[in-house]
Formats: sequence, C-alpha cells, structure tokens
Amino acid sequence: MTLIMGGVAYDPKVVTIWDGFRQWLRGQGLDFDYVLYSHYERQVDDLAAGRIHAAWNSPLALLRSERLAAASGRTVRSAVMRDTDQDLTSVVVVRADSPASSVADLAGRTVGVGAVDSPQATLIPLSFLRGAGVDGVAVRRFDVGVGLHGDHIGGERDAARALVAGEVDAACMIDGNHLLFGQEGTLPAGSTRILAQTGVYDHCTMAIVDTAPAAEAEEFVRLLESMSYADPEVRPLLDLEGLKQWVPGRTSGFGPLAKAVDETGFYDAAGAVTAQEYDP
Amino acid sequence: MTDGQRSGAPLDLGFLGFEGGAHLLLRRALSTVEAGGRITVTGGDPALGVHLRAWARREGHGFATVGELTATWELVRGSADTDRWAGAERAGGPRPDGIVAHPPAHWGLAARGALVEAGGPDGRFDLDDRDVVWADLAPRLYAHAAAAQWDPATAVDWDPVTARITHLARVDEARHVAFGVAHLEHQGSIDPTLRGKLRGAIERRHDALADTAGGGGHG
Repeated sequence: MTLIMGGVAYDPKVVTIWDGFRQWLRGQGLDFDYVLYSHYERQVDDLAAGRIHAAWNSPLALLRSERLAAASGRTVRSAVMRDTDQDLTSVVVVRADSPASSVADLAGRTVGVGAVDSPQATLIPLSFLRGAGVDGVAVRRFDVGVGLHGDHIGGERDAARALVAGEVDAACMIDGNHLLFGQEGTLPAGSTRILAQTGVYDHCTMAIVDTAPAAEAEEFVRLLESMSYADPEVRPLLDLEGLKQWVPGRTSGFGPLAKAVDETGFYDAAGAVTAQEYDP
Repeated sequence: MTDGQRSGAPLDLGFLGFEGGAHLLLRRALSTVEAGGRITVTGGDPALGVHLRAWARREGHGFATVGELTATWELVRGSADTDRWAGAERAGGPRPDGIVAHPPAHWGLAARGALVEAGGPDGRFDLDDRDVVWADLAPRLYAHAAAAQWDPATAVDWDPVTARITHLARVDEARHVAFGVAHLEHQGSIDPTLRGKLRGAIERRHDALADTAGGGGHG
C-alpha cells in the first residue's frame, strides 16, 4: 500500500525537498508518495480523517492533530523529528537603549510578534509574558503567511524591523532568528538586547495516524532515521530541510505551546479552530 | 581515545559575540577534538548563551549549560562537518603534473587542486578535453599574468579622470537644480502661500544647523 504523507508548501523549496525524499525512499523500496497543502489546517483535517497517513507537521498542527484524532477515537503520534526541532527557545528583544531591564517593564508597552499562528514568535512568547505576570501589553502582530504556523520567516523579520525602527518596544522571535537577523544585518550589531528567554520547547514532527498501514509507516520512520549526512545523495536534501539527522519523535517538548493554545483558545479540546482573527 | 581528544582546551571568548565572529574561534576550538569530544566555552557577550544554543543546533553540535556556572556552556562536537567531506576528491592538483586530461563534469568550476564535495551536479561543458583547449603557451601565459597583475590604485593616473568625471557630473547637477528652481517658480505662480512656507522652512533649517560645524554656522 502506498504510504501518503502531507506537507505544507510554505516555500518553493518544499517541492525540491519532498521530490528528492520521495525518489530516495522509493529507491529504498518504500511505496511512498506525498501531497502538498497550502496551509496546515487542511492537512491536519485530512490526517485526522485518515485521508493521508503521515503529515510533516508544525508543533501547532501536531497538537490539533492529536485533539481532532482523539475526538473521533483515533490517535496520532509524533514519530520522528529533525535534530534541529528539539530544545528551541524564543527570546524577547528590546533596543539596546531601552529602559526595560526585565519583562515586567514591558507592562503598558507595545510588543511586536509574528503571525497569529506562529508558535515561536507569537503563541509561546506571549504565553511566557503572561506567565511572568506582565500586564497590559499591547500586541502588534505581523501577519505574514497566516496558516503556515510561523514557518514563513517574514512575520518575525518584520517584527525585528519594527523594533529597530522604533515602532514597537520589544519583539519576539526564535533564538536562531535572533542570531540570523544579527548576522544578516536586519538587527544591526549592538542595536538590540535580549530581555528574556523562554524555556525550551520542540518544533516540527512527523505525525502518523493510527490508521496508516503499519508496516509501511514503520519502514518510513526507519528509513528517515537511517539517512546519513555523509551520504552525498541525501545531504543536499537534509541541508534544504535544515537538519543533520532525523531523531525519534517525542511529545515532551510541546507543553509550552499546549499551554498557550489553551490560554488563548486557539483550538478547543476537540481540535476545532476557535482562534480569533485567524483565517488561513 | 585519550582524554585529550575527548576534551579540548576551554575557550574564553572575552566579550566577543557572534556579531563579531565568535563562530570562527568556536570552529577552530571544536576542530581540536574528535566528534563526540567536548569544549567548555565562556564569554561575556550578553547574547552568547542564546546564540551558542542556536548556532550549535544549526551546525549539528551538542549544547549544554554547565551546572550552576553562569556564562559557561559546553559544546559537543557533532560529525556533520567531517561527514560533509566523506567521499570528497581533489580536482587534480595545483602543479603542472596535476592537470587532468578529462576532468569529470561534477568538478564543475572548482579550481585545480580544490577539494570537491561529493554529490554535486554535473556541469555541462562543451569543452572538457585538455588536449582540445590546450596550448603549450598556457603555463607561460599564466605565469606572466600572475607576475603582471596591476593595482588600479597605482597603475592609473586618476587626477585627470577624476577632474573629467567631476566636470560632467556638475553639468548634470546644474540641470537638476535648474529644474528644481523652475518647478518652484511654477508652483509659486499657482500657490501664493508657497513663498511664505519656503521662507519658514529655510529659517527652521537655519536654526537647526546654526550650532553645527558644517551647517548654518559656516554655510
């Protein structure tokens, strides 16, 4: 039976990546194919309904997949992740000359965040600020690529630019993007200061629904985990996808996002989309 | 494997951050240990801990904070940088005896003697036969070119060139100024308040520059 995986086309390179993986997986004897979606919610609908067997999911999509599947008596598991998906953090950044010395000083200030559905630049850092007891923050959202769950870097970059331009008092972004924005010049050297860092959390994962053909699903995970960065055939694909090694999936790193989802009512307990101002 | 290979010398970055090139020193320090080996990193850049974690993740190295110590982290060297060069090959050699008769297409435009990563695409070159493109003169021409390299800062007399370019630019600039003045004259004829607004703007500009060395005080 053909194992069918869903992926979200957040960038044209997604075609190159999954075409390459498809060819390699089929070369290893796995009957594998993929379909692409324009946003995560439809992919999650199809995974939970069993119309596809696996989905390369954002962390937000994994949470909704679990809830939707559970509501209809199914289960979805986090099967395999990139090595770069584990133990990420987000940071709250201010201008170097900002008077703020702790997040408490952001009360009543304007905080720039990414897209409404970005785990790393919106949901988790705002939950972090709430958890720190910061009240009265005015949130300015930079909605780029809504429905892509923050995979599109544009919202984070726009928030960083707004910080430099003085349009917001703080900006939220993933740790790696703070490093990137500094290196590419979006954040000029010495212009910003990290005010706070969230705890660690996990990011994307390969979700597999329990109605997937078991042998093919097991072989799919085994083959992904067998990919070696020393193999010149798959290395360019791993580079494009941003990993060195696939590692066993886990769910222990989704707690901060689940908390944020419940606090904001982004999804309900049964996986329905209940977020305000969210129209992928 | 000895302890020496498992742990490198501690790296103190001082106040150097990633914006200033910390990754160069980190790469060098990590290159002194085998994959799986560890180095301890300290430093005073306020963003260093955040950036180290992100950089190590991107590069395929392990990252950990060290107990209760502040501003101290541990990196575990991953294997990605050595894996990348598995199966790599030299594109011939830099000396005359390293010239290859039929270089494989996947060497692409690699310089002679360069290390070529395996798995690259095949370039499409119509001329890929040394004997077709060869001339016995080629090594001497190469040597001559290397010996006769010229520095534009000293090989060209820039004074007359600069004077000519400045003259031509001044002619262009005069046309721009003429247009600006003519446009203001036209606007002034249809908007009687313009002259007053312009005077106000000029006075504000004068006030703003009055105390600056290069502005209103001297200009």
